Amino acid sequence: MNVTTHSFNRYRSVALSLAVALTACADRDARYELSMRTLAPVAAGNALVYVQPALARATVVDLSQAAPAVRQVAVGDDPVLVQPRVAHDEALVLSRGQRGSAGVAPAPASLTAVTAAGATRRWTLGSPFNALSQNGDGRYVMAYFNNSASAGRLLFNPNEVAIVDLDRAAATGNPVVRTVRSFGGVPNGVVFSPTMTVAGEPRTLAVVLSDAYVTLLDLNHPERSEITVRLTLPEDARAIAPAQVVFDTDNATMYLRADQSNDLYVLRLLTVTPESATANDFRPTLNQLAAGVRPADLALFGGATARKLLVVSPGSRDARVIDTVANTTTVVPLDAVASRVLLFNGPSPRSATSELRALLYSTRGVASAVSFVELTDIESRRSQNVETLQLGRVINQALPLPERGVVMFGHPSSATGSLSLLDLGRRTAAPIFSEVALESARFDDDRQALWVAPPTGERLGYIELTNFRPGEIRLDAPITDVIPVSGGTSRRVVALHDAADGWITVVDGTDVTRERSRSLRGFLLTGLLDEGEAQ
Amino acid sequence: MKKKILLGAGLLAAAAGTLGGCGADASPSAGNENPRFFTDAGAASDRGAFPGADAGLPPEVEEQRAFETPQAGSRFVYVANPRRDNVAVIDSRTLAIQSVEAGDGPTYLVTVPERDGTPVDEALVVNANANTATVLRTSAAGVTTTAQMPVVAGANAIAVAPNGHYAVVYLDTSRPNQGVPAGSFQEVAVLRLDPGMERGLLLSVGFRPVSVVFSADGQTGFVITEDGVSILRFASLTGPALVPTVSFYDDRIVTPGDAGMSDAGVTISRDARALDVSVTRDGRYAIARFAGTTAMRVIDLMGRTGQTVDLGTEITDLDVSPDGTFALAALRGQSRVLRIPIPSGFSDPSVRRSIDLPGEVVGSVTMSPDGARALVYSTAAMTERATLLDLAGTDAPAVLRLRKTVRAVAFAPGGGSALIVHGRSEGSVTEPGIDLETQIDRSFGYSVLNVAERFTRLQLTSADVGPFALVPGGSHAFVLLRDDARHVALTQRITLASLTIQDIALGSPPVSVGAVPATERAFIGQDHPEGRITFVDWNTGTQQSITGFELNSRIVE
Repeated sequence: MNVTTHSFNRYRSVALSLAVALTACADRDARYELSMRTLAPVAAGNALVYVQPALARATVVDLSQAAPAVRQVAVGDDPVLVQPRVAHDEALVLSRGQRGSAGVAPAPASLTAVTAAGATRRWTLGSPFNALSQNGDGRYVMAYFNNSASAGRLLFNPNEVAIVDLDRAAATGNPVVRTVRSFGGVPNGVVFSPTMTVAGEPRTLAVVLSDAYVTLLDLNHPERSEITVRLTLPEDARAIAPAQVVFDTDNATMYLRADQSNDLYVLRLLTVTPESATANDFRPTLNQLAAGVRPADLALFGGATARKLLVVSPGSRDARVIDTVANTTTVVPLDAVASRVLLFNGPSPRSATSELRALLYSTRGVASAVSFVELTDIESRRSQNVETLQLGRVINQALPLPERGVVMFGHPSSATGSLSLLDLGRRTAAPIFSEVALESARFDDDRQALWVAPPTGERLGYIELTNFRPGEIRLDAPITDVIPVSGGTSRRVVALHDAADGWITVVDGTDVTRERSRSLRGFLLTGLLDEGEAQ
Repeated sequence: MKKKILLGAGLLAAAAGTLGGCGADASPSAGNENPRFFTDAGAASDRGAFPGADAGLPPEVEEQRAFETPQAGSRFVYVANPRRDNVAVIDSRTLAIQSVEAGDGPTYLVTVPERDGTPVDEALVVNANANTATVLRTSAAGVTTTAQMPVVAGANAIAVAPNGHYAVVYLDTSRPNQGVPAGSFQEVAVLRLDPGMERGLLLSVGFRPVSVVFSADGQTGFVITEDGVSILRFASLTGPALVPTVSFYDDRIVTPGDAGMSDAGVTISRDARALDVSVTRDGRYAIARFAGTTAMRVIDLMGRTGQTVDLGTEITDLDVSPDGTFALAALRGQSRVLRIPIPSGFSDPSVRRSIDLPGEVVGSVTMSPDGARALVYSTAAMTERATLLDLAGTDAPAVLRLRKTVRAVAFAPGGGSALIVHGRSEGSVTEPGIDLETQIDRSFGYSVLNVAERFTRLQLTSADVGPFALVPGGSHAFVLLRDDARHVALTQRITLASLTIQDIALGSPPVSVGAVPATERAFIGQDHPEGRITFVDWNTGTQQSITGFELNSRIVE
């Protein structure tokens, strides 16, 4: 066997031996009983970050060098969530803090940013939030209470949120903690706008989604009051649940799709003269656009002065092109019901010219065909601009990779394969046999290969997206997940194995061989003895 | 009885400037019919189409629109929302919507088009549940302020005087209302609208006001009632006062047995109601006709004296020119239009000029806003023609072949064009075997007339012709077409210079149309549970719609 196992195993053996040796001792330190459970690890640039809640620490496995370095850093008490920071080589760890008990001082909830090098920054949040949402460039993160979880406190306000500017150190005004106005609901999610010019100033908005209303927060002016936009009238009992927000940054407009509503909601942000220092300098005006029956997805296309929406509505088995200036709608009947819209730039079989086109498909297991839509002159040509491609099997999963000109579809297992690779330019679909579902598939960092691993198997599969050539490698243990890591000189993916002491295999994506792969085990035990000494 | 057909709320905004300027005759557009725009739709008694065949015709039916439809100011459009006690103020430039609290049950709304010649964004709404009216005043920055004033119980009609200083609010029992209130049918509210000086004054007038007209300077209002004309001299109304009312009847000349009034050889029944009441531009004279008679009554409103003018043949229509210098009487029995100079023609038959139109049915007359031309037609006879008269020059009358019967006529501001709404005959358009002529007769439609060229274009439509608007300047017109059963919901944009027509599909059934002068947009209010309005640039035809007034009003900061 050529897989290299580094000497981290010594930590594992030492720690476990220590645990065994101490089992006979009465009244031993409670730390010996701490769980080794970790949160699902995430990538932070070229490092993996494991968070061990019981130890309130993160273990950073730095893979930037041939010999991985392992560092432990402290995070806030009771970490409940770790996620990669968008567009940054950092991980964000949300901790709920410590309520306090006999001999244990209370600790506030906090957010810790952990770099690949193991450096940390921390912001005190105050309330034990359990959900995070980041904006598109990773500058802002909002902590809030997920509706489905308990706060674990005697009292808590589910409409409290904390907004952290990750580019600024913790200080007065960072984070901004506030309670959003409620009409009986609680936040179901948060989406952030891209930077968009509103009232003549570039800014980022947070849109808090609640049942039957949304709340707008200006992240560039967190001292200003929030704006609440109701989506139903009081006599309307429909459970309108905001589900999708699309931003038109050129026109300071956002389009909102909601479950249980056949209308799209358009919020145009108009400049107004603020009445006070804490008032906003913009105000949304709401419009409703009829979008067929049960609109399921939408996308914007067209120039800034002629912006259009492409909406798929599976309930009415059509697509709709909505002129967002005139608010006129063109109905485009579809042969195949669609619930998703994918815009892509590329050629077609009849035109080598690369231009914006659309692929409409459904992943609800009801359609075995997809629709290509030529967006040029779609409003006048309507169904003439639609080409239906039969795949022969219903689609229940999709992994779009438009920059590579492909979409991978998952199908129920059948004799003709459970995957299809759709070439968007040629409009051909190649069946691929797979033993795994697409949920566990991961693109590597530069989108050159797709990696899959069966949940209990030892083999890691991949498909080169440049030539659709599949391959696989057998590792030493069952794979629980695959995580691509960025940075360094070569593409790498990390296969995770189930082991309390930490076990990974780093695979070279450019040379997928056992010889080029490295296994690392026991790194979660690093510093355990030091922990004891420190006490 | 003369028939009047209501043709669209939007005409108020569109035509207000033009008709206000020529409002010497105190025509409905100048004042008391302000929320509505009437066009002469001919005399029902014309049926038969032959001289002397006027008798026994049923009374005319007045078509009336709902009152909660949008009204336009200079730039902003106002929509009353009685359920939420507010008014949606829509900026036609940005489509921003603000919700402004009014009183209890704001229902009947009109806009004030201008004050002393300056376009303004003001609306006046009657709060039906509170016996109050709220004036809403919107600044260029989009800020709306309000003031409230008392009005009469059950008020459902508003007339705004030219120059915008005063309005008269009253109960018009011929209109839809919230139920006849206990009390008097002889009360009106005079509202002073000058910013910062708003106040309301309740006054007693004649029985059952039916309309209010104004003098051209807007300083005098004339309440047309069943009893006669009540004269409101606004400057002198500082408190409760007796409003002088001048009756069309003269009790001194009542015939024995109270059979009526006999004058100049003509007897007018005591029960006869004055029709087509007009007041001259200077407020000096009021004139009216009476159904079934040859008499025209002239009231000197200054001297409070009356005289009867016998025109020898039943008068089927009577209008005063915009400048108030003459009246036109349709004498269907003689196929003649009589031009009567004011006041000399009242007493001197020799100065009256007859325009004989042999072979034509002269049932009704509609004058252009400048008084230079008139269209003569019949809505009762099944004739498919109209005659264009040159009132300012010497051109001979021109008979226009229309190919369909006439329901109503409206001139564009400036008088260069006219819209003629056609009637239709019973039967299905798609019935197999019918010829083209029958198909045309059975279709809905209208014609657009280019006056200078005497050219008409017939446009058949997929639904009945609903409200329409002629934009200020008269360059375009908008016609609404609605048939819910057949899912017809569109407006037609008519370019009057070329008589070309563009169909513009709407997202929901249209109910009202009007024009917003400042942004040169027409607005089309639509039937939508959450409120929908579409703005159409009348120069380009591009459109924008907004939906959800109510939700907009509930945005909270």
